[in-house]
Amino acid sequence: MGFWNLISGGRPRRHGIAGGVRAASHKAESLRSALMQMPLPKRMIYPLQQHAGIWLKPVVSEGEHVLKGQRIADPVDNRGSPLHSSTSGIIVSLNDHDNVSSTGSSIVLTPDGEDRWTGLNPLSDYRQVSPDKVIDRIRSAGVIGLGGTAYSTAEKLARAKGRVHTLIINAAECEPCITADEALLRQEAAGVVEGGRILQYAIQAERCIIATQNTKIDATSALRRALDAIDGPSHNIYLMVFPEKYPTGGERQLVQGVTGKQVPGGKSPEDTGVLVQNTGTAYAVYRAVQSGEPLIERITTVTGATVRTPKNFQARLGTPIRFLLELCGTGFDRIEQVIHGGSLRGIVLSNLDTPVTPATNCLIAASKDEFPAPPPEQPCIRCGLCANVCPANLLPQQLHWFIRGGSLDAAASLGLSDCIECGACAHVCPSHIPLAGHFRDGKIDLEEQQESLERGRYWKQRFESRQARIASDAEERQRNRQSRLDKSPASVAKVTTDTDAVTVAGREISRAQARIEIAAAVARVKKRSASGATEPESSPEPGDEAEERSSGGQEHEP
Amino acid sequence: MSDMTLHVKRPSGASLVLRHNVVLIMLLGLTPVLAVSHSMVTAAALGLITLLVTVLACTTVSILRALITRRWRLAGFLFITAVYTTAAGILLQISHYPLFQALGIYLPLICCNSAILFRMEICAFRSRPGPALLDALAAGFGFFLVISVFGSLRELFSTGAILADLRLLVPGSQTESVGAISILEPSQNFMFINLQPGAFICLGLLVALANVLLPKRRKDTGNHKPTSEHLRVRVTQRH
Amino acid sequence: MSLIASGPPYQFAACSTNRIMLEVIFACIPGITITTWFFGWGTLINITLACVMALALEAGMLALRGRAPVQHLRDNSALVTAVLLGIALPSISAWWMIALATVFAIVIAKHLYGGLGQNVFNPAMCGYVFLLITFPLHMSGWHAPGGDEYNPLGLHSLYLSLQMTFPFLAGGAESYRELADGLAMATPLLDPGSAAGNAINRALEGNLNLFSPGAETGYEMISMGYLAGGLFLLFRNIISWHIPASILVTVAALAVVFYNPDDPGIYGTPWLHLFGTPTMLGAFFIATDPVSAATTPRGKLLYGVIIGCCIYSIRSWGAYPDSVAFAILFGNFCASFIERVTVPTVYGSRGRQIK
Repeated sequence: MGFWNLISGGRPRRHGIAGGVRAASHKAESLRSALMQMPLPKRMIYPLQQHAGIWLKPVVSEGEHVLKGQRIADPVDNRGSPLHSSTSGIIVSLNDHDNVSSTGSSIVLTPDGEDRWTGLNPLSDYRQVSPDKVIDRIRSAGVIGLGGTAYSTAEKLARAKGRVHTLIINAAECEPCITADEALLRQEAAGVVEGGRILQYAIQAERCIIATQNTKIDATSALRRALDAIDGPSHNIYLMVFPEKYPTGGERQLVQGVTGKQVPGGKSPEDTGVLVQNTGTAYAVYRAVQSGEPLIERITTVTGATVRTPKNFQARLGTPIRFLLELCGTGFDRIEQVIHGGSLRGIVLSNLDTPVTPATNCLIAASKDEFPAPPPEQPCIRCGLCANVCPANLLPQQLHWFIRGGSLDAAASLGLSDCIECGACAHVCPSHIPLAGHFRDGKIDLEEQQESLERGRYWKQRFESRQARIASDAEERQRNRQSRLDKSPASVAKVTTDTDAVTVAGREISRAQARIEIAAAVARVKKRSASGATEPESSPEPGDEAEERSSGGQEHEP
Repeated sequence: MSDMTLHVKRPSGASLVLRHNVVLIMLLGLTPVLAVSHSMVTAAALGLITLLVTVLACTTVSILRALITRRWRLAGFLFITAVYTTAAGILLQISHYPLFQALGIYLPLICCNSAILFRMEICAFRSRPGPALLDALAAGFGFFLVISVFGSLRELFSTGAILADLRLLVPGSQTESVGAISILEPSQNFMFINLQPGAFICLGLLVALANVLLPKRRKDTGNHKPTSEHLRVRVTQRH
Repeated sequence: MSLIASGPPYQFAACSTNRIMLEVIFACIPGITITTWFFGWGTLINITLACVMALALEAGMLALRGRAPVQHLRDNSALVTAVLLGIALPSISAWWMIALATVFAIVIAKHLYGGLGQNVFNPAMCGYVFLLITFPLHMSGWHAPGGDEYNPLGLHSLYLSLQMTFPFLAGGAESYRELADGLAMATPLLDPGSAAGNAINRALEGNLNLFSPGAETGYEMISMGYLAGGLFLLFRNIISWHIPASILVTVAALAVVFYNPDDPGIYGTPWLHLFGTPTMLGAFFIATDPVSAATTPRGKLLYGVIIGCCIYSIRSWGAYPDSVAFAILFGNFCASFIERVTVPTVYGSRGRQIK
């Protein structure tokens, strides 16, 4: 390390990233045209579910006129971020269910065509205020992660602050078809670099590293120029160029590539002192701080074989996806499927009227021949190509074997839960086995199994504690009875050793007599329990049984 | 009830000969089947001795079952089997010394034959001598049948003839071949069957054949009652 | 517009099992060509026969197992097995030997274990070893290198080979035996002269054409052919370097350690172990059969070392002249255990307790 510092002048060193595949990138098509502003659609749709389980509540009313950048919904809890209108217009509905792919409702707005800004509140020099203030500014601007996770950026920053030494700006957009970050960097590299510096200041990180791939030549040179143009004292912001490979842009993969460390399973990169932020997020932070603009648009790639002019849009959030496709001259009759996201991890849209959300980095309107369904699945020949490309260093062929055979435990011990579902294994599989899908299902099953185990453990514990309680109750009853008997000496049952007689409840009988009576009682009980197996075993004292029942009843009260 | 008890349906009687054959279906006592079946005569001889030992030992166990405690029953079973096996070995040495030599270690190993132990555990130890004798007879005959057929098949395919070692059966004789029945041309012999992997593969094919030909067994899992009183949890109200 | 709901990924690499198998067969061509050049038509006849029978058996077994024969036949795995078997069997094998080996390979070693992807042992080597231990005499004859007067590619040679394959053409057992004695020779390992030598070197020193039948470079040139094919497979990323490299390094290292300069006939020269024997074929084409090999990176190295040790020790101290098949079967046997102990560290799980 010391030697490296000597020859590199303190520049951070690039590390290897495990696995990875070089898939046909399909990026050139959408990079031919410049980044484009888009006209206003007829209506905007804002889903009120920001992310799985993160809900918003409207702060405007139906028929209200809102301005561009005006806050229209607030998060229910602090995990969400406020939502801002991406143009000026009139709120038509607060409760629209038709056009959201996920569960929940949405706000619908009709633009008035003026596109008038609300009053903005920029931070003129962020270095004059405390980092917390900067984070607050980012929070109120509603910036959320544009890399697809859609977590609140401010929340992430607040959690990372003070624990993180390295900030990574993820410009290594590695998935085929997606060029949103590259298009942004070509035009706004300086803004992204500045956004990176703001983020670095906000979390007080020692260094900031912009990670990109060697195929993004224009973007890399734009970044170089922007870095050279930074004036002032020596800065700790570096460019790191990785060889082209999917999934270099994965959060965990970048941490490995930049620091050489691995993020332990179940932990987040912040736990290893690294925070990863997307290029688009950095730019949104820059806009939020420098000009006070809230997050109302993102770059979206529109591509695919049915699209006449694939390009990148500065898409306002809330724009219906159909509108974006129309703008590019899409032949709708030839579309086989529209993929939201890249061709390796995206999901197929079932409704084209869903809006652009912060996670919409790419839309692929694919024709039938572009991404044909894979040929029929063949048996695994254990060629090991999947293991070669797995970025998590798993053995997909073994996992597949175990999941198929139903032994989830064996799959779990081989690290099933460390699978990042990048799909590289399924991409290269020569037998066309949908490995990624199997692993997704396997992980879900595994979670369910874990849950039911937890549930079983819970009920077992309750059962055992109930048994213990019943036992202690019985003991206590016994003790009480004993003490009752002790109080009335006439009824004490005591064994007199010198005489061959027993005193039971005041009645003196001989031992032999007692034995006969006991045997008779046992025989009665046996007869009764033999006559019906389902019949509950009757206890000699009816009072005990009643008590037991009542305690059982208490047990099952919620 | 003991932890050693097997929760399987207990086939008995005539079905033991084929339908629940100890070798083909239960896969017990495979060592002698694989080891001495290269020649039909040795196979059949070992099968016959095993049959005798099974019948005698099982009957004895059944008679003495009151004397054998549950905890020490395995030792008792082994001891009784070993007595008969040793007796059989001594008698065989007297009358058929060459056969005794040909059988080698596998004759004494009869006392470790799991098929015999299995019948003792399942039947002889819990029934009267009559049924125990019949049961042992059926199981032993099943064993004898399979090992003889298997031995003749292997001998036929590996040497092209059967009964080549018939002289071993003549009491006290050391004479040359009595009557090998040549069926195939001896030059085309098929050594592989005579080797250990050949024996395994051959047995596997035989088991497969038995699975195809013999009537399907009923699935008998899950219908046995729990053997001890289990405490039950009532969780229905929660769900 | 139809919106098909399928899970990601939607984009696939242009790589299929069918193609991998075809490329393996393609990579065998140099070796087969050189074999034919030096030793005549026997190997080609072997391969043709084995292919026809393997395809028929595969189709039959698939139908018996209730699979669609056409779709599964297209994976070409039966062809690879047949080609490797045809190469491995002596070129003077009779048709029924080839048939037996193919039946054993396809029916028992492949389909009884569950078909493609489930076979624990390499089917071609199972078929070969089956013949070797069943008919040791028939299998130990190697094709004589041939002299100047013998033209391996001529029509007469083709007729002789056909007679060897179909003994009824030879007209009587006696003439058949004579024919076999004429064509066959003992393995070169048993012959001290060839054990010590390096035929290619000799031919080069003597200014002989490497491809002239008289140069006696046959076996070594065949190894070169398979080496070239193996390098092609490496280049095409169909096999990884781990297994061939570790086998060759292990065999070479053992051969160097035990090499006796005074009497090279005892253990043979390292050159002989690498090139005078089917080591190359085994290392590049058979041991790398992914189904029966270990698949973890470290496991592949260990697997290769085990096979290499077996190749050398069975060859030097064992009873059978050819050891590659036994060594690979033993390696197959170890593969699942090797995999179990060489599971790579999963990303982010360093130091975590693996259950």
